[in-house]
Amino acid sequence: MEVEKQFCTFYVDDLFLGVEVAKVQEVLRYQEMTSVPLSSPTVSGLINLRGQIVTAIDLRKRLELNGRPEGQLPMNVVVRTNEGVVSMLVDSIGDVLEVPDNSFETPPETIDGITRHLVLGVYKLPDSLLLILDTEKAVNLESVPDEVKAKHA
Amino acid sequence: MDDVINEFLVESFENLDQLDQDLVDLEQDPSNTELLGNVFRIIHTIKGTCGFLGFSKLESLAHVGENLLSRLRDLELALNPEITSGVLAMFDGVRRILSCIESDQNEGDEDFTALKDKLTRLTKGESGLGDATAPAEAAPAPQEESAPPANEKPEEPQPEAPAPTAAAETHEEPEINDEMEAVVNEFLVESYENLDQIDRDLVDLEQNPQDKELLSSIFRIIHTIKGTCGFLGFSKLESLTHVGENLLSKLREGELTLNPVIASALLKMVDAVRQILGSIESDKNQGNVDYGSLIEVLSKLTKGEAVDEVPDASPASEENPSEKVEAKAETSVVPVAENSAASAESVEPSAEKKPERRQESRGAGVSESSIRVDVGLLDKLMNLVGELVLARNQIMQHSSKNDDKDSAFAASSQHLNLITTELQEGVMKTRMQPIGNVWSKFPRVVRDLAVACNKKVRIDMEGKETELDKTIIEAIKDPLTHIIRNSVDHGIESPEDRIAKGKDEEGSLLLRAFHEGGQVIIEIVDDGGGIDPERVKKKAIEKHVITSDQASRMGERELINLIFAPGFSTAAAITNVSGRGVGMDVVKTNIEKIGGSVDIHSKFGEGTTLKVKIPLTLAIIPALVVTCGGERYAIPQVNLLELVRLDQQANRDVEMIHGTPVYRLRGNLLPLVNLNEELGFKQGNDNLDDAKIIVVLQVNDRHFGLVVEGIADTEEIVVKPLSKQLKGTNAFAGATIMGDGRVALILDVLGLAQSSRVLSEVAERALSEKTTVEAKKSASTQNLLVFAVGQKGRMAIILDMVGRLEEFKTSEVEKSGSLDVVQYRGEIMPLIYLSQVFSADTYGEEKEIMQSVVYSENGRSVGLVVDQIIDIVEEEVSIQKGSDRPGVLGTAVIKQRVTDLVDVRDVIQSTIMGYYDSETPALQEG
Repeated sequence: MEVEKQFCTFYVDDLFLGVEVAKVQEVLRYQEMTSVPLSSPTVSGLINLRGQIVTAIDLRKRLELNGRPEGQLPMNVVVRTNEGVVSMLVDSIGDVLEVPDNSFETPPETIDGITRHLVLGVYKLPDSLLLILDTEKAVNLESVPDEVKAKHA
Repeated sequence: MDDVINEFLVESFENLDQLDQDLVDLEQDPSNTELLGNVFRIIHTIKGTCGFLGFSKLESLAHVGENLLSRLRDLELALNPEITSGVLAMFDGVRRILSCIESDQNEGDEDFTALKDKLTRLTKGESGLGDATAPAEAAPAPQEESAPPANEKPEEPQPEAPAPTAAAETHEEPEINDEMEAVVNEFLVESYENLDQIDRDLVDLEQNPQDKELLSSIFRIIHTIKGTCGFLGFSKLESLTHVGENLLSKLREGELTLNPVIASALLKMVDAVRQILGSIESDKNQGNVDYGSLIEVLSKLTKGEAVDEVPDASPASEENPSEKVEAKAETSVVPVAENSAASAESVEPSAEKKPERRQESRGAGVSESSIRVDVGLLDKLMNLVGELVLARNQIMQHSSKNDDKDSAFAASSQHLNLITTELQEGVMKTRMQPIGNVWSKFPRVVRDLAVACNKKVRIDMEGKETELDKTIIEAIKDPLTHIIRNSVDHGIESPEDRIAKGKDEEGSLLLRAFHEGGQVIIEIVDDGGGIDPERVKKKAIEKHVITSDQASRMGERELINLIFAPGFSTAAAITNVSGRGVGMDVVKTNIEKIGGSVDIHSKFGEGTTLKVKIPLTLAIIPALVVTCGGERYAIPQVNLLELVRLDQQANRDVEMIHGTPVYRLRGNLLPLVNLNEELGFKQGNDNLDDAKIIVVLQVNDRHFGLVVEGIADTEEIVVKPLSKQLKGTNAFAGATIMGDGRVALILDVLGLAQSSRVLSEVAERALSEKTTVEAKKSASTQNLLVFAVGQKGRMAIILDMVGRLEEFKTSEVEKSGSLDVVQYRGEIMPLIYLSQVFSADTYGEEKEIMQSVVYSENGRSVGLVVDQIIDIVEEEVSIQKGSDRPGVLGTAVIKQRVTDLVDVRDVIQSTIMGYYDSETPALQEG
């Protein structure tokens, strides 16, 4: 019998990404944010999530993709992580997909840089590839690929 | 069973803290039998409880301690430092065993034989010889083999130890003073609680007579009450509980089995105890009800004799359910239940059996007025109140927007506002604890340390009752301990040194706490050697904390503050007390972490004062909301001193020193920090000319001005921590949710000051302040004539240079060449309009009368025309800042106003060409 996993999917620039459903607390439309001066540009700001203050991380910036076109408002994917609840800003939300475990593969060596570092693996769907995001690494801004570390060292 | 043990542990730990303090107090005042009684009671209770919890090791240790204390109490021995140390070592032993029990339910395998031997010898009046003063290793290795072995093995524990009778016999009805009253009240509260428990337990026990645990619990409670009565002097209560205890002990040992008669008798006893307690509570004596027959019945039962009637315990009460015992035997519970028919709507089945309480007559007695609440619950309440405050803020904002549309809504939101504020205060209060709770362990710390360092130190405390939030109390415990250790170890000198310096042999350490401006100030004052700035300097250079170049530029105060630098210690040798160099910086960081600050004042040779300022509470703080770069930021009001608004004109008061803007605030230079720049919004000072608002802030006793774009409001904010992603920025202390639901960041004033280098910058200012102070001391007082020039300017001339003050009519002014002149005492005197020289303003021609200062030199006079003569002041003048403006000697603060000192010669020289050139010939002519 095939084991299936459920993923909450979303789009960031041209990437089709997924996060395990269990890790997602909720998905919200655009929320007003308070920007945090002096912080990393990856941090878009703070949102008020029913009295809880949640940091919003722009996945475009985190994945080192192009900036979001002007006028396009991001959506929030609020995930639970070891560092508390964090909101990831994405372009748009896809479906919750059930994918068979056997279609999983580790990320190909040729994907470079930060994306490879933040992606756990790839599910081969009939018409597209679903990249599974490592939320722990994604929200930990100090987590950088080894080769980058090596470069700095 | 776990519950019982836990309760025992909590109680014992509390009691031990109290013991430490009592014993140290006792050392000061050995004749205080009340204190001794207290100490004895606690140890006795611990011992008794251990007995049936089965902690034999702890019991035997407490037992020898009790023996010693009992001899002290009976005045057969006098307290001396050796005994004190022995007893303290015993407390430590007890504490360690308790910790072991707490962590793994057994007593640990530490060997206390040596300590017990020592205590036994002390009890016999021999010298202990051993060294039990070092509290850290209070379980002394048996270092005195030669000493006589303790042939007096600790006796078998006697739970019914009738020890505390001595005090009872001495006075029938004890006087209860205020201090005593607190003890008595505590006793009452505890006893009432316990009696309720006994009622339940007894009834349960009747159903299940074999339950040893229940029996032990009842026994323990009665035993505790008995013991406490002993030295509180309630002899009647004591004798009653004593017989009860005897009966219970037989039951516990299985010599008797609980039967309905015994149960009834015990319940009657509980009623009687309650009655006596009630009488103590209402009029401080035990009442005059005679319990002789009850006591008799109880003793008979103890001896196993049959009793035909259980006398009523409460002859005073209205209903006398004087049924025959036989009747009770048949329906064991019923009579008691009937008895409680009056006690209203009890829901709990066990509570039903409660006999009627004296509630009606007592009203809200001591026991009803306090309950124990789980701290976790209070924390949760606090969080909820925080949320409520935020919701309130949102509603208030909403209602202020449409107040005219819906006045009913406005009124109810106003009401909500009031209630929320009150609720917030109420909940905060529940978390408040007197600082004395932390302090209570310090006398012990100080004493042990003083003994270890061979010093004599007396500790005094003021303001023990000052209240602080529980979390803050926890947070300051360690820093305070550290400071105190430091004071004793480094601060206070040895007795010989002190005598040599002409000080009292005994050093004094004063702890003082008080409220000031929404903060709590804790001062730790010692009269020790103080801090030698030179030595600090040397050490700091040695340890590379600062360079010698830096050191040479530092003032005394700054040098002293170096002790807060990481890695700094002046201790010549590392002792186990202090000197590892990880001290004061940790103290400082920990205190700053909770929003407090530490300040040190020290006079070499005379003593040191450490001043710790801490906020009352952490969770909800009042804050000023400012705007900058389109966002709002909250500044905790703790840091706020004042607000200064500068309009465009006043902007010239902002001056630059090396590109750093400063503002003269009442005579002191206030470094300015532009929030825009600090937050990386704008570079440069392009907006220097706009009207601006300066928020004057204080950090570590240093002041600086934060230039913001606008002030929004003051608001109570709930501090929420920042996520880890934002921890890197030190400009923010947290975040909060504003009235409109948006998030605002809370500025970390300390962080801002550090990142903008205000702290170091101002350090230099402190230095320059100091030099001016020194300059002031040398400068003699000068008389100055102060006058106004132009619209706002103030200038002054040294009065000695002023010949006369004259008024001229405008019409008297004539022209001589380009100069305006007047005829003055037969001479032609040129006039200089100072307003023309120093400011753009032209002198008001329309004025009829001109005021002028006549300056005479070498027989010639010049009239300096000023706008208004203001005052003649006699002041110590310190020229704060040299000036390169022509005609100005410098700037000084006179009567709290910035005033330029006129360089008269320079003014004349620049205005009247060749004035001094003609001086020599003029002189020759004259």
